[in-house]
Amino acid sequence: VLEAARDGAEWALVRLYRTFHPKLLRYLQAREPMEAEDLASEVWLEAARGLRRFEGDESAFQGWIFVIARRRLIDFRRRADRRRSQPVPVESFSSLKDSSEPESEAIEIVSTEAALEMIGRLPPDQADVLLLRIITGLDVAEVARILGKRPGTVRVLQHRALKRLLKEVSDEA
Amino acid sequence: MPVKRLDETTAQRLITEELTPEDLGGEVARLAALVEALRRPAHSWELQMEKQTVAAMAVAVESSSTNGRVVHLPYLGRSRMSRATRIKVGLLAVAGLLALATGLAVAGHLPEAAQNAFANAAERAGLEGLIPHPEGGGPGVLHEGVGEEVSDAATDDSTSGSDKASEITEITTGEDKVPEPPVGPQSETGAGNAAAANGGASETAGQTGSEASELGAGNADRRGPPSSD
Repeated sequence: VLEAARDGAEWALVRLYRTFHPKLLRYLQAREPMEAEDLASEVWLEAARGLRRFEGDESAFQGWIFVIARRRLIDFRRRADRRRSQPVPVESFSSLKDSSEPESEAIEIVSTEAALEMIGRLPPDQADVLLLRIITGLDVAEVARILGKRPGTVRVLQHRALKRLLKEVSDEA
Repeated sequence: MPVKRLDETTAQRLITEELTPEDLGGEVARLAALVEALRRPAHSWELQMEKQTVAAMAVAVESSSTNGRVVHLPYLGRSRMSRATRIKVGLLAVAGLLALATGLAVAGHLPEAAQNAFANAAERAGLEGLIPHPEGGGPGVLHEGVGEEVSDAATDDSTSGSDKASEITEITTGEDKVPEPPVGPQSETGAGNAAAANGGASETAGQTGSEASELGAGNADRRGPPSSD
């Protein structure tokens, strides 16, 4: 697929887009909800421009587009010179249920949007680690490489993020 | 027995999908549900920009060179020049044009109308003499006090009409000689010639010297400081 994409084959580009765009969009949505679509488009364009130089398999490609995404995010925030200081008011956890899904008594079903919103409220480092680990499925070493951190730091951030989320979920409940 | 505590091992297994909400209990199950929500398959709205983005990607891939160098496409969404830069460039262009026109005006190389306008503007700004009026027109042609001289000549009772005409012509044009007035009844009514010499304001023969005086005063008003009667 990557080889065909390098030659500009549209089917290959569509395949790459369909495989990775939802993950990319979710990552950006958690970090910068209002700009996620625009930033994702910029990431794809940059990736397409550099596609012929890229070497590696699809897993490496996924890591590469998240490196671009993170860089774009940092650039955007630097430009905008602002940080999200007014988080959206916390809605009750039960109200975040996805109405399109059958409800289970034992396990509450959470919508993807609500989950992204909750993760977006975490400190940026923790949110990055959690999003990359969960959404992309990349291992600790790969996430550490993308974020420019040591694997041990990534593990600590991941654990802290989950504990914080757990506390929030408990408070909401 | 469902796991209800979040230790490091549970966290790791949760992340790597080894544990599902069904395996967990209490609040940890809620957390697992949240993690699971992030892994759901793509929603249709998440792919709504597919067509446009893939088309732009195809163009970007095509336009990147094969020798490892990447050709950067112009960003289509916005102008490459920021609004502030555009304003600065515009102001610089206007300032440049103004400086060029002023330079030409100081050198006296502008077309007559423009030269006159610049000279008048400079005079109004208190920069008299900096920009010359064009030759053959404008206030700069007549020297200072010419209106007063014309007025004096017109009201001088000691000269006849034809002499007044010659005198006024001399004052206004700076020429010493004027054509001889035609011989005829009008030559005796000098006011008519005086009027003709001042631009032909009156063609009626038989005007008196006082009419010529008024005409002279009028000229003085138009071309110089007011006459003192």
